Amino acid sequence: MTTYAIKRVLQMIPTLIGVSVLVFIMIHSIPGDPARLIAGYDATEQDVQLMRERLGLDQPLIYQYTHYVGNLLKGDLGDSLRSERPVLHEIMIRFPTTIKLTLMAIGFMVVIGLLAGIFSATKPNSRRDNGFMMLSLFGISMPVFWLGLMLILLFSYYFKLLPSGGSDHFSQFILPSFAVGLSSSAILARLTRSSLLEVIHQDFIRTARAKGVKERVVILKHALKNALIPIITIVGLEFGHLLGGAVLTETVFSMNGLGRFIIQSIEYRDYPAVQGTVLFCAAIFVVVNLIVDLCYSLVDPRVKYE
Amino acid sequence: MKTARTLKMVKTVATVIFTLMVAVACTSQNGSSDDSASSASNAPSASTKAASSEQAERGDLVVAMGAEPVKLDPQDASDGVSNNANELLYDKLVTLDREGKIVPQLAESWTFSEDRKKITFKLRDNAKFQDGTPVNAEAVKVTFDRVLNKENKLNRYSLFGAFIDKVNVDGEYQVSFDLKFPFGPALMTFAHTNAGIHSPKNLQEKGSDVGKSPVGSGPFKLKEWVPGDKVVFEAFDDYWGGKPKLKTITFKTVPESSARTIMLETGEADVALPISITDIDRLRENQDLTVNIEPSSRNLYFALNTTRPPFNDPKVRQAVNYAVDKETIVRKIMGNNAIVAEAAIGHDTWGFTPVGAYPYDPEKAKQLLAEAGVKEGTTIKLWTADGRYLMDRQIAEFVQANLQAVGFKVEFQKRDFGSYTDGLREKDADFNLSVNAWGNSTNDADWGLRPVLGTDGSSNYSKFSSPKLDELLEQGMKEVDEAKRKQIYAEALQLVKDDAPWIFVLDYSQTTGVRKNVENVYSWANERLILREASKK
Repeated sequence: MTTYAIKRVLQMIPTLIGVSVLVFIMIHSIPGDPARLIAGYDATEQDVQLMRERLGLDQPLIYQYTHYVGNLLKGDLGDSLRSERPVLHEIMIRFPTTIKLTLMAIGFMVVIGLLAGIFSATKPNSRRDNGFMMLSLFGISMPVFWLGLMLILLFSYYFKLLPSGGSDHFSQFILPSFAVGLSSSAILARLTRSSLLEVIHQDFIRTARAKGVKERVVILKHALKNALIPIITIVGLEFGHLLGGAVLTETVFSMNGLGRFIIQSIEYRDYPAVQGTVLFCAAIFVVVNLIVDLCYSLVDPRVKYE
Repeated sequence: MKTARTLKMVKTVATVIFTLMVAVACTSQNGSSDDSASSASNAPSASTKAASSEQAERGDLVVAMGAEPVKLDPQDASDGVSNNANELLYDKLVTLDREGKIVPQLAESWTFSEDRKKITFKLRDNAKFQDGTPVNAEAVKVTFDRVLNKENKLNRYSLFGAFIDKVNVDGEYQVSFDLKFPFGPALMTFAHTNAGIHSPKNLQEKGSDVGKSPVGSGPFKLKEWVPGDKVVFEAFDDYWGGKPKLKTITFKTVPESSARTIMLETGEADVALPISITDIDRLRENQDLTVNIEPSSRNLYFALNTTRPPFNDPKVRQAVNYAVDKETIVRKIMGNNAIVAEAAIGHDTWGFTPVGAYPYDPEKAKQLLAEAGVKEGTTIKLWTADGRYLMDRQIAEFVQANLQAVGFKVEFQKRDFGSYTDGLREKDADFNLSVNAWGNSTNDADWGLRPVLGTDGSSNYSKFSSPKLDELLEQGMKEVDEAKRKQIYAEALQLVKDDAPWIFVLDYSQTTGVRKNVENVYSWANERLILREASKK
């Protein structure tokens, strides 16, 4: 398994090179001139030209690309055009917010999703099952920003229990992570239900029951463990998705995370910031994927990596 | 058996829910203890009041804004939020009072030479920078020499480079500027936030990083900056104008407008701006808040592409001005938080003379179009940004309907702002009309007209070229007699109205939400939020 892990880590390199090239091409091909956006709406032509020279945007594209790759090999993501701070520094300021939000959201998602899934699966087609599944359908269809606004209205505006936004204190993470967690738990609940139902009808479960094992042990130890693979997959995917994709949540709850940073950087055509942040998120995504793959063999001994 | 199982399940669920509730309760306790801490600073108890009445008077102000400052270097900043911050950090030679009149700041007095090509400022001798060094003529020279040096490539090079030739130190507290030509709006430009004076010591120490660690001589200094999240300013107690009335001011970055409003309502923010038009009426009913509606020098207009038919004919341009119902836009879309434009520059701009709006008269529009030979069903392209200017897309849609009513077929194109103005600037851009807004940062007619309507103007989206207007603008820029200048601009505004390179629509207002316990928060017409004198009870 160690050899496999090392092989996978090495495979990350071409993936990330591919991402860096793609992002460079994509962001440079969107129309819009960062020098003009940074110089401001009332800048004269002369000011814009000075800004272009200052930012190195008057250089040929191929020079800009080799410069970018050269820096990248040294581990330097470059400086943001707009703030003139190192991109890595900008990322590191925002990353704690994003990772905290992601982890807490995953926490809510797993607790709510798994419980709902298990409850439904143990009594299929009952009123309880239908109730949970209807709720989860509601969760899937509900836009997360709407849910966020409703939570703010309820818990911040009327009950004054929790702050409406920000990312400084732990209490400010509860509402946003609950909003994201609840939305994504719906998918998990449905997935848990169907994969548990599949396992429950297999022979070894019948054997376990026949042996007089307690129902709780049957479900949690025998059935759930075998149903975990698709669940781990979806949790891993959601993790990667939340890293750069929690833009709406971050905006509604005024959180200073990576998603909001990427969007703002795209608006200002801040090339190094977009390239750096996307590359960073891609790297984490690849690592999470690797961890998910390794988890399969922990959960299911039949999965072997060589 | 079955019931026992269900019971166990219920128990497990109950435990989980209980744990969650405890967690939430704990954190909300934290939250409420935060609240009580902040309410303590709002309304101090008797004992703290007795212990230190001064401490109790000085509050912490939280301001929620749509964006964060980019650079805290006046000569390198071009965005409104940076300038709001720079107005706290830096003093200038002269400044504006609440009504927008020029008043002394670091300079006690100033004189012009006979030929008006030299201005001499006498500085006050009691001003200090936040690093303890004195504010003197040398500091003024160092600040302006830095921006006038083209090699430094600072954002505001042309604002000053256009008219300043040389800066001279005439004595410890006397500095003079040699101008390239007599420049009418010279004092206005020195009152611009971008003319803030740096501490030379800090400039030397920080070099190009000065925009991240600024030192000026204003009433507040930088305490903390968390990029993307907040900037905290702290009172500078040695300020020559007396101790500030607030202990700290925090700028919070809150891009989403409904989130800003909620923060204001819950008290998480004391000031929020801008307030969205749709929220104003609701906020007005809240007893704890006021919504300030203040005039702005930003106007909204439709640039008519004068190089392409049909708008290369002034008659057609006048016709579309008659075709648009400005009053209804102001009343219905803007909820009366704007006024119908009565000239190409706003009511609060220096040099404004009302030349009158085109009345809404679709019949007259049709008649003019017929005279100009424009056929019914002629297709024109309307470009708009979405959400860049207050209600831009909504107004564009309304105007589309107005123009269709007089016989045009209007193709509507919405664009991302990053590529919007670049597209408009292209020489052969194929739009016929586009939504634009111009915020006049110096508040003088010169900057309100030259960049947007002068033949070489950098934001002349109409591609308008009138030798007569260019001549008037040149005259206005170089005339120093105020009465004569005003006359020149009155003539220019009339010419612009008659030639109609725009559909003149409205002058915006600034909408700022302020909690009732906060006083002396106001804005200049050039969209600058002024918090220097603010206090919080």
